[in-house]
Amino acid sequence: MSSTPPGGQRTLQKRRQAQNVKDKQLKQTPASTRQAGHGGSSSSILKIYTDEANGLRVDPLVVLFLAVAFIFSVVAMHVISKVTGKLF
Amino acid sequence: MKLKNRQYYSSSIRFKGIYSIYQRNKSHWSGTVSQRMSGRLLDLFKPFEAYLPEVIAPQRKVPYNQKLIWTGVSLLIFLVLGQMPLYGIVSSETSDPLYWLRAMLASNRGTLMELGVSPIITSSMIFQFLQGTQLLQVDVQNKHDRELFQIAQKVCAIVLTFGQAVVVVLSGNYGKPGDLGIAISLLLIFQLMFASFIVLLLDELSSKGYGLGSGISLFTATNIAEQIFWKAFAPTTVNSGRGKEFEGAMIAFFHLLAVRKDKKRALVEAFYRSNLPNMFQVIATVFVFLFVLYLQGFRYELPIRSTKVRGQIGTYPIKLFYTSNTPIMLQAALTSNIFLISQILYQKFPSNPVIRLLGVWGVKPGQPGPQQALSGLAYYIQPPTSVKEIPLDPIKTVIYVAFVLGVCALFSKTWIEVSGTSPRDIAKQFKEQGMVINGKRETSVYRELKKIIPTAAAFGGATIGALSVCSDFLGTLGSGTSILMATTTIYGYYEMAAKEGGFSKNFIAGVSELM
Repeated sequence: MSSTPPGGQRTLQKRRQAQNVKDKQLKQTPASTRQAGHGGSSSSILKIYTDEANGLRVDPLVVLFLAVAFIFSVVAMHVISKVTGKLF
Repeated sequence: MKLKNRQYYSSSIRFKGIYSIYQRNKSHWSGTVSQRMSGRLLDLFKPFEAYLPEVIAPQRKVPYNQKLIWTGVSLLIFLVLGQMPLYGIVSSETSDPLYWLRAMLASNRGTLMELGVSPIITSSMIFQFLQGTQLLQVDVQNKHDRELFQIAQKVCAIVLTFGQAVVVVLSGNYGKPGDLGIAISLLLIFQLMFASFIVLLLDELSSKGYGLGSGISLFTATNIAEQIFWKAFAPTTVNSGRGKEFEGAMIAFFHLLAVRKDKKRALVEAFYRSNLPNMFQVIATVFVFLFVLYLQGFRYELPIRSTKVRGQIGTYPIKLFYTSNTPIMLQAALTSNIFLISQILYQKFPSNPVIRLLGVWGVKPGQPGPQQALSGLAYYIQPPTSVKEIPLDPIKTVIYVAFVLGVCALFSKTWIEVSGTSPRDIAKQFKEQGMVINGKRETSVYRELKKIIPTAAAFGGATIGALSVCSDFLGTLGSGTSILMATTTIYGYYEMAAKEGGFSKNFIAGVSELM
């Protein structure tokens, strides 16, 4: 490891790069699939924009619970109809 | 909190922004009434803004492992939804008019995934084409406009879900609505709607950044992969007169080799049986899969350099599959819609000459399976099932190949305009980022890109079409289109994972050398 003194050109460059990255992130969210990270081609037919709208905000865990609860309720309906069919 | 403030701020200055845009484009907008109307079309969806559920975007970057877990969990939920039968069905044994669409839309008959991703795909396609044709004036730079655009898409998806659910139930897919009763019919509609709603949320969750990428394409690819896997390894048996036969190709292969005394004949039967999936199809599938993976690596690398930061040089890759699987998806959607309409019309009016010109449907003698087009326009664009069909009707083959290749190339070229990846857009992005082509003038970026991108897109589209035709002729498990879609999606995911740094460096280097 060669020891370079702190400061100087390299530090400036690093700072500038960090600032650039920060600027880019502060700027708006990607406006196309390409900017969203699919370099060189549009890989997907769906979803051009992935912005946040200020609607009814849902946590992803809530979505999971909703889905599982729904599946269980459908299973329960099947089971109940089977059991009542057997009993009566 | 900070985010919220900014949003309020942006909405307050929004009017000014739109007004200034209006001022600028006044001469353009006042041209036709329809254009001004559509400017307001997007604003129609504003009242829904507050009520639509929206998955919160992650505050910071989600780590790779967590992304994998989220993707896996949402996939699991989707697969369970795809196997769970609907409650209240009497029967679902009537002939299936949507047979051609099933694989593409990730839907399973008689399950909670009856609608699959079709409402979401349809609404997204409608809106993207509206935007591509400039009927819907969306200012891409304006955040609020983009939000409205998304909300409009979602509202449209929900309305479509409701419509399709009602149609599916009322059209007697599950037995006559009168026999089912109102309560069960409503329950069926509710189940279908809620299941599609969950898929919508799961897709959003995935594409917001919790998962690896778009949920829809993942669901579709998984569904196709599941079908291929099932055809290769199905443990179910079929008895067609000469004893029990395994449905899965691989299982039947080993079973025949183990049980039969005459190994040679057993081998021949395992490879060439025509009523069930055979080993030759498995091999063809693997071959097509590997060949598509090989073609995925083809790219034109444009040397670029930055004018803002001196010394930054890199390459801008333009892939052969520039539009990925979009053209083949659109082509499949187009043909399946033609088939659907033609089939319905033929059932209603079997003797109308115009409708007979569009397509005459029936079951081929000696071939089981769904109805096929026997003559007419639909016959010529119907994918062939094997190489045997080439000499039987060479004219049909030529027309079919020309049609698929031409349509794919055309769709591909149109798609780059619609999706904002046309040479003009890319040149604009280059300019914004201060990138120029190494060894070329700054002003000639557009000209250079124009030489490369449309050609790449058209040729890539034609290649995708050719691959699809080839795999149909080879008789792969599942249709050629679906295999292509699955492969391109999986490769896209692999690329994304590689970019995220999920694999070790050595692995990527090894694979890319292989490619």
